[in-house]
Amino acid sequence: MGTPLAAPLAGAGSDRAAVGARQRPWLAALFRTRTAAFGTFVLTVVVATALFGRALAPYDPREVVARPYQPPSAQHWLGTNDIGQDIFSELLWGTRASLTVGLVAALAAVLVGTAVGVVAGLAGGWVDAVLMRATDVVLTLPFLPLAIVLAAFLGPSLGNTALVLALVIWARPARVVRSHALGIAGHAYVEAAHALGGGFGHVLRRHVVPAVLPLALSQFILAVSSAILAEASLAFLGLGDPIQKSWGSVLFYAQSRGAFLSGAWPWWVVPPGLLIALTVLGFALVGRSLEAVLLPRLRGR
Amino acid sequence: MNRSSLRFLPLLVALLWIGSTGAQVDRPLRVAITGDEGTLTPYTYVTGYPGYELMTLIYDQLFLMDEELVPRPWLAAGLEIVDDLTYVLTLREGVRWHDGEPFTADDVAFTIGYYQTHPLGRFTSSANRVADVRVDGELGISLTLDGPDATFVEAALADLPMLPRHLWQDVDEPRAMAEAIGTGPYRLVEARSEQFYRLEANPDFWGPPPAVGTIIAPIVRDETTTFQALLAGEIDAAVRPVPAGSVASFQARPDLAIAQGSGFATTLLILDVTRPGLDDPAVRRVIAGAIDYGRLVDLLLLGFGTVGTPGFLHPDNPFANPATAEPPRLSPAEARGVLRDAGYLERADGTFAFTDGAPEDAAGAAPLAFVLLAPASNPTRLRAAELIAQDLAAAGIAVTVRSMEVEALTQRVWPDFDVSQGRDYELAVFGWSAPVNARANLRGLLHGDPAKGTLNLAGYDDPEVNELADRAVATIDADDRRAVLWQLQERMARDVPLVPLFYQDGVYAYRPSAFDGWSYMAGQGILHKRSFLRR
Repeated sequence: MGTPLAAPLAGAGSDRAAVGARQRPWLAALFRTRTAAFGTFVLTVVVATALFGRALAPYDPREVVARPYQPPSAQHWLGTNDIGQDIFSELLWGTRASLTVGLVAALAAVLVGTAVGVVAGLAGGWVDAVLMRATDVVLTLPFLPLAIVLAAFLGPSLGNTALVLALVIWARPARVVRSHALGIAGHAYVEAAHALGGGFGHVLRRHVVPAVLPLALSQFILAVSSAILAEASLAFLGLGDPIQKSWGSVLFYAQSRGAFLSGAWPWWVVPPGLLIALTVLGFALVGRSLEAVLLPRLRGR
Repeated sequence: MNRSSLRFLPLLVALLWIGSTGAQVDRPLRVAITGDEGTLTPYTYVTGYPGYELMTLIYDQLFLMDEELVPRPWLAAGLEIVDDLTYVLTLREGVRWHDGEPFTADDVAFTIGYYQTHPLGRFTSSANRVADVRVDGELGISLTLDGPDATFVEAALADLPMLPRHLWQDVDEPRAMAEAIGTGPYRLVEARSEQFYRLEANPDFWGPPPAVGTIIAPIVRDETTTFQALLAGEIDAAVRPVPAGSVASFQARPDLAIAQGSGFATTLLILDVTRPGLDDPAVRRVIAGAIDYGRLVDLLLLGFGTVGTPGFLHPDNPFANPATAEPPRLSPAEARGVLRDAGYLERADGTFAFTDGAPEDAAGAAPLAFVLLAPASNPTRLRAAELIAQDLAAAGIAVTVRSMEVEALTQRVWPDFDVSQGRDYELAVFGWSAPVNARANLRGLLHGDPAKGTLNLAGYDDPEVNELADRAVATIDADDRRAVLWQLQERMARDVPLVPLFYQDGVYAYRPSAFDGWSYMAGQGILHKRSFLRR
């Protein structure tokens, strides 16, 4: 691989045409297919909600504005929760928390994963062996049970949730990035850089990191979707921060305060569930499309 | 356990064939419980409710509380209180253990000694009140206390389950003793860990005949699952209270009935009164006055509850002081006035700060702000914390709610269930189970000596209150005792060592076609021995 991608990337930063070339596949990927366009549309709406949802919300979701357990009405589109807060406003506010946890966890995971991957791939030898065995350990641990144990141990807060998710998510990007970095390290131009006296740090900075960035980006997008899903699962189980409004905490109170018994689930459980499903789907579609465009070798996998 | 269940199989089949013959309910009664209760012995049951009640279907006490919480003679036929320290008991004749051995005064003496030497929180502390035991023949026994104790009948005689000496005398590790043999109306015939218990009526029971032939108690940990099972007819009753939001829909069902009564279990805001700020009674009065108790009961319990009294005791408690029945209320403006008068600095953003004698410069002063802990697994208490934080913010006290696992929270407020180890919290939403309230255990809550104030999570220590609390326990005469307890409640209203928030009513649903004999034990619920005995 490499030629269509690595060549312009190797010289990135020095000439504007190369920068443009790096940006174009991005945009193309977002609208390449109908499904990708749908994913992009969903993500745009979700991000806009995260940014402006608080201004758009009809009520402050922390305020008690009506009787508890009200069905949907003109005043409260999705009814009210167990203490009379507006569910629609809760969801608008909660978008930011859910998305932030997902993004922060995924970012941390991909940073760690990429660092581990490129160092392991480029250094080889015992460094590679040690890092990859650690990665294998994390990969073989069951994802959700591990997250549950960690979350119970660290205590509920959004920061801890992000930390827990990052701790269990980083291994997959590390594996993927390492295999890519291994390929790059074997290229003639990298060997040439070595031969010309380029040290480990120089080769890492100038050649390997820029080359794995597109891969890291698609891994990031995919990690966000699993982080959002996992955050909701943890919150639903009462292991998130129930004090913070998030999609998961809305589900937590719906489950623990009787939405399924009182028949309130169609407006209390289904909407946050749909939001989570749609957002995860949006990230997955965009991530796949990015991967396919930026890493054509992976297409059709 | 397996062999004995086989032994009862023919009986069960016979019962099914015979069908209903009138008085005794023959179809197994299925009552969902909340968790595993070990092997249902006094050393392995887990929860106060329903675990203790289920265990005491098998084991009998010397006295048994009636539905109005008055102790009535049970295994003891008579009691003579000779003086403040001497209790002479006469046991019932003809009582036999499930294995046929006779129950005698030796068993009683053995039981008290066993609880004293094999520690178990609830039973050991009350057994330890007994300084001397003297057996007088088969059925006579005389107990001498180490000091006067007004609650001895309720807390010891009506609480300690009697153990058969012939089976327990060689047991060194009581928690490993799996055989549940008592004198009670039911025998344990099958116990499947984490699954269910099966109890059969004891045909040789000495007392009123059991009203139900077989009780099956499946363990259902999830609330929603429990009530879905009840609605679907898979169980006949649940020991879990019906969630407030579902009471109306349950009442509308023709196949279900609701038993409702007061609940003595107390949800309260506890505070560490040794912390800066919280050591000031004025701040504590503002906290107690700013909380909208009515809103808590209205929103969290949908009205199925009673507002907490500043003297802790439920208004239905015979020792409750009517003068302290109402929680104090301060409007936000009044609360701010109290804080200003107490010397706190009001800042431009409406919050308050310590002055510490420093010049009146609000910028550098420490804010009057606290962290409020709430258990992550208890949504009612989480919501209570959320609402309290709003109320206190309006009064100028900044509160940050932090949720944590209930074990972690307990360890912070009550490390190893031992108040002498101190505490590490500012504010927390906490709960005391019904007996603390039913027995008016104000000494436990307030006494500054950790050996006496075993439930004093506040670190509260006041010489006058200590003296009153000692008198409340040592005073036997009911009227005198009430007078002392009333004084204590007035001190609590003034001093705010703790902030009772509400008492949640018990609302229990059952299927009357399966069994309609449930009676409501005041402050507690429908699962108790008297429910299963024919009246």
